[in-house]
Amino acid sequence: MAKTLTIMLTSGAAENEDARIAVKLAKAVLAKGNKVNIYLFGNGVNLSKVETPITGDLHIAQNLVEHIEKNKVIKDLIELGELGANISTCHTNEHARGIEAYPYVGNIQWGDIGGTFTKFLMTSDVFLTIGH
Amino acid sequence: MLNSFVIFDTKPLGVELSALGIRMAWACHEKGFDIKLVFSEEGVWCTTKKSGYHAMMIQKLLDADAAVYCRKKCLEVRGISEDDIMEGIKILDEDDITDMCLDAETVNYF
Repeated sequence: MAKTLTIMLTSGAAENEDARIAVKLAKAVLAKGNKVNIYLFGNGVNLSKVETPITGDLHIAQNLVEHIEKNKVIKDLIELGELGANISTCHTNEHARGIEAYPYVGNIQWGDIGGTFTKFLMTSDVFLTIGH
Repeated sequence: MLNSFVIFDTKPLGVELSALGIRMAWACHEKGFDIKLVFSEEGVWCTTKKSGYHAMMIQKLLDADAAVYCRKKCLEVRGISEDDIMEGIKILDEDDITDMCLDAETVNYF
C-alpha cells in the first residue's frame, strides 16, 4: 500500500546540499509508487519562485556560475510537481524575505504552517525535516 | 496519520530555525497533535526569562498545556540555572529524552 512522506525543507539551494538531497529523496519515493508532500520553510521558500535573470554580463566567473547552477533545484521541483508531489511554502517566511508577491514555479502553491502543513501531516505516514 | 512529535529546538535566538521550530510546535499543538518541544544545545537560551517572540510563543504553548522541556545537561554546561528559565518548562535527563523519542511517531530537529 502506498505511503505518504512529508518533507519539511528549511534550506535553500545555495548554502548546502539539503535541497538536492530532499528532491532526490522525493523522486525516489515517488518512483516506488508512494506519495510526497514538500513544505518549504525558512530559506526553503527561496526555492519556490520564478527566477528573474539579469541581462548582460553576470560579473561572475564561469566556474563559479557552474558551481552555483548545479545546486539549484528549480527544475527538479517543477518535475516533482508534474509527478504528483504536493509542494507548498510558508508565506510568512516569504514575507520575511520580501518575495511573497513573486510568482511560484511549476505547481508550487502558497501555504501556511497552521493550515497547509498540518493538513499534510494528517495524511502522512513519515515526516522528515531536512535542513540545518 | 502522524499523531505524536518530539521537536528538538537547538538554535539560539537570532537563528531563524529556533523560531521555526517553536512555530511548528504551536501549529501542531493548536491542531490537536501530541507534541513535545525539547530545547537542547544552544536552544536552551530560548527558554530564559525575557521578552520577545520566542518567549511569547513559549508562554502561549505553556498556557495551552503543551509539553515544553529543557535538557538538563545543556543548561548545566552553559551555567544556566533552572531558576533562570521560564516557569512551567520541565527539566529532562538524557534517559527521559530517549524514552520520549522512542514513544513518539516522529522526531524532528531544528
